[in-house]
Amino acid sequence: MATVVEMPLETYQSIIEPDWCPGCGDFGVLRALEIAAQKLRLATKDIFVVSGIGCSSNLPGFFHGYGVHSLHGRAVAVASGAKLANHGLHVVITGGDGDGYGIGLNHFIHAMRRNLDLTYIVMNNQIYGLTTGQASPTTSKGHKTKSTPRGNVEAPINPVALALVSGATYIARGFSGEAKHMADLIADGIAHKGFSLVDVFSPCVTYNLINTYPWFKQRVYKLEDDKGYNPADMESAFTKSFEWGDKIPIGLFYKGDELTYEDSEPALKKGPLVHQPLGLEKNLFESLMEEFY
Amino acid sequence: MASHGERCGVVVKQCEDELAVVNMAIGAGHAGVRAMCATSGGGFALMTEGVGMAGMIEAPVVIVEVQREGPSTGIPTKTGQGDLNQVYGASQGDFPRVIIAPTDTADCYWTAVESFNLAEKYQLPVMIISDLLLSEHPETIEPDDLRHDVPIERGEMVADWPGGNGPYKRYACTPTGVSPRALPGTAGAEYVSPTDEHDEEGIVISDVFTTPPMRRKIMEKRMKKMDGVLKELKPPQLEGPLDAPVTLIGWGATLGVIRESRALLAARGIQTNHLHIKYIHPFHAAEVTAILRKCKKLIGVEGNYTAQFARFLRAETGIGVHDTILKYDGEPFEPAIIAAEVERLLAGRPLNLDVSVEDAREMAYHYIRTHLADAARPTEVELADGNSHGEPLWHVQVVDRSSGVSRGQLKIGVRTGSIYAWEPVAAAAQA
Repeated sequence: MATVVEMPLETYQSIIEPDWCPGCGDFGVLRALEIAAQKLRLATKDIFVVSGIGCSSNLPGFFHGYGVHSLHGRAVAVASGAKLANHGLHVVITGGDGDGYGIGLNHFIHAMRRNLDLTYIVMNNQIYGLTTGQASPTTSKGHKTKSTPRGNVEAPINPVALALVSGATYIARGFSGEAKHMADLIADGIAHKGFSLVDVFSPCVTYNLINTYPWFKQRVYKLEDDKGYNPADMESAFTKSFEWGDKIPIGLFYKGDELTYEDSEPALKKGPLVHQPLGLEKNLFESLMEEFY
Repeated sequence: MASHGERCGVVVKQCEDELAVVNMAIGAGHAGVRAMCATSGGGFALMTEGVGMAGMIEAPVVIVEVQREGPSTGIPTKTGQGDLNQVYGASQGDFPRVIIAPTDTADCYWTAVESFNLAEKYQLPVMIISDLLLSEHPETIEPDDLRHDVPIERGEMVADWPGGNGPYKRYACTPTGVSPRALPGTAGAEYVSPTDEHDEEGIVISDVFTTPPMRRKIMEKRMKKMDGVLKELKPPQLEGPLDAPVTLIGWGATLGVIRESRALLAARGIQTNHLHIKYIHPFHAAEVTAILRKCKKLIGVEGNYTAQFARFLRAETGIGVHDTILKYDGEPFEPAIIAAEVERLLAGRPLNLDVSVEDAREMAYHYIRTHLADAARPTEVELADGNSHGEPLWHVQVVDRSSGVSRGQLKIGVRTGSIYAWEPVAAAAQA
C-alpha cells in the first residue's frame, strides 16, 4: 500500500538501461510511469507490472517493482489472475498496439467489461516495430509498410471508442512528447478504481516515418484545455474518440464509476486471497461432504 | 464449485477462452495463491503456450486435461485416452513439468492435493490427465477415503528480504534447482519474471548478449528440479502373481476395469498380472524397466488408436509391448472386452475389425435416425455376398417402428462399414 514519504525517481528505476532505439517514444512512457508511481507514493513492493511481447513489452525489466514479462498478447490475462490473487497490488499492464489490439484483443475487451482494477498502458506506435516495420492493428489506412507495400487497406482499430463500448471506466490518451501530462493520466488511472486504459502515442522513430513526433506535435491538443468538455459524458467521449486528422485530442476522454470485479467477488470480501488461509476446516469439510449424502 | 467459492475461500472464474484461463491461472499462481484450471483436449491445445510460460517463469499452476474422444472436436460427449501425446508434448522447448494420470475417483482428490504441493514446492506446471469417464461419472466412495487435514506443502518461501542481503535472486542456481520464492508484495525482493531466458535475478539474456554459459546453467537449474520431483513420487508396483504368463499395462482411469478383467480371466484359469502407471512424467524408468524385464507377455491396454502410452513406455525404458488392446469408439473399456481380447491374443487369433451383427444393427439405427425420421427399427441381419461391392455385406431388414411392416433393407459392408445402399420396399419389390 502507499507509503507516506515520496520516493526519489530513482527508486522506480531498475539497474537495466532500456535497449530501445534512441528517441523511442517508450522512454517517455517509462519516465511517465516512474513519475506516476512517485506522485502516488507507491511502494515498489506493491507495484506489479505485466507486459506481453514487443519492444514496449520490455518495459517491466526497466522498472523497479514486481512483474512478469509474459507471452505475446497474454499480459492482460496474467495481470487479471495476479489481481484476483492479490488485489492489494497495484497492477499495471504495459505493451504495444500489436500485443494489446492484435493478438491480445480478446482479453483486452473482456477485461474492460469485467472492470477489474487494472491500469493498461498501450504504447501505440501504429507499427510492428520489433519485427522491423509491418502494419499493425492501428496502422492508418494507406500507410505503406513492409507488409503493405501498396498501402494498408485495412481500417485501424479505434482503441478509445472500443474501450468506451467495452465498458472501461477510465479512458485516456497520452503522448510521449508530453511525459508530465501522460504521468498525470497514468497516476489518475492507477488511482481510479476499475479498468483504466491509457493509450499512448509512442512514436517508433525507426519504422514509422509517418506518425512521428512532429506529426503528433502539430496535431495533438489536450481535452483538459477544452473547458466545455465533460469526461463524465459518454456521448461526448464517443464523439471525441473519432476526432482524427488535423486535430487529435489527448487527455482524459471518459471516467465512469462502476463497481469493480474485485468488489463484486464474494470470496474477496475477507481481503486479498493470497492472505487467506489455505485448506479446509474440519467442520466446513464435513458440511461439504454432507452435500453428497 | 462457484457456489462454494465464498465459503471455501476460492475465486472461480470462467473466462473468455482457454488462453485467458491458463494465463490467469498462471498470473494467480505467480502472485501466490494456489491456482488451477481445467479443460479438455481442444482447450488444452490453446493452453499449451501458457504451460511453457509456467515452466519458464517457474510459476506453480495445476492444469487438468480431461480427455474426450478426438481428434479435433471428435466425440466431445465420450471418453478416450488419446491426448497423452498432446499433454506430454505441450509447448516448445524443454522445461520441467509434471504429468499425473489419476486412477479413480478418490485418487482424483489426492492427486489434486499432491499436484498443488508439487507445483508449489518445485514451482512448475502440473498437468492432471484424466478422461471423461473418470471426471463425469457418478460413483459411491467411502467417506473415509477423503480427509480434511491434507498435507499442504508450499516449498521454500522468502518472507522478507532485508537491505543487507544483496539483490534477491528469484532464480538463484541452487543444488536442487529450487530457488526460494518471494511473492509479489514481499519487501525488498522486487523482481520481474520474464518468459525470455534470464539470469538468476530475472534479467533477460535473450537479445544481443545471450551469454551461453548462463543459459546452460539456468536450463540445468530448472531441469534439475525433476530429480527432486521423481524422488517424491511413489513408484508403480506390479499387482498379481510375478510369474503370470501375461502382464497387462495400463495408465490412468483404466485401473479398475483392468483389475476386473483380470478377475474374469483368473476365473477362466488365465493368470495375469498388472502394471498400472499413474505418474507419467517424470517417469520411474528404472523401476518400471526392472519390473517389466521379469514379465513375460506384455499387453498394453489403452483408449486410443496408436497405443500412445506403449510408444511412450518404449521411449522411456526401451521395452516394447508384445501386443495391444486398444479402444477408440468413445465407449469405456469393459472387463469382458479386455478379457476376451487377452484370450484372443493368447490363442493367436488375429484382430477382427469387421462389422459385427451388433455393429450392423447400431449402424442401421443411425441411418434410421438420420434418414427415416426415427420411425423404423432394424430386425433380421443376414450375411450376403457383396457382388459389385467387393466385400461381404450385412443385409439389415428395417421395419416400421409401430406397425412392424417392412420398410426395406440396408446394405452395409462387413469390412469397411460403408452403408452402400438403402433399398425401400417398393424398389426392392421392383428388383
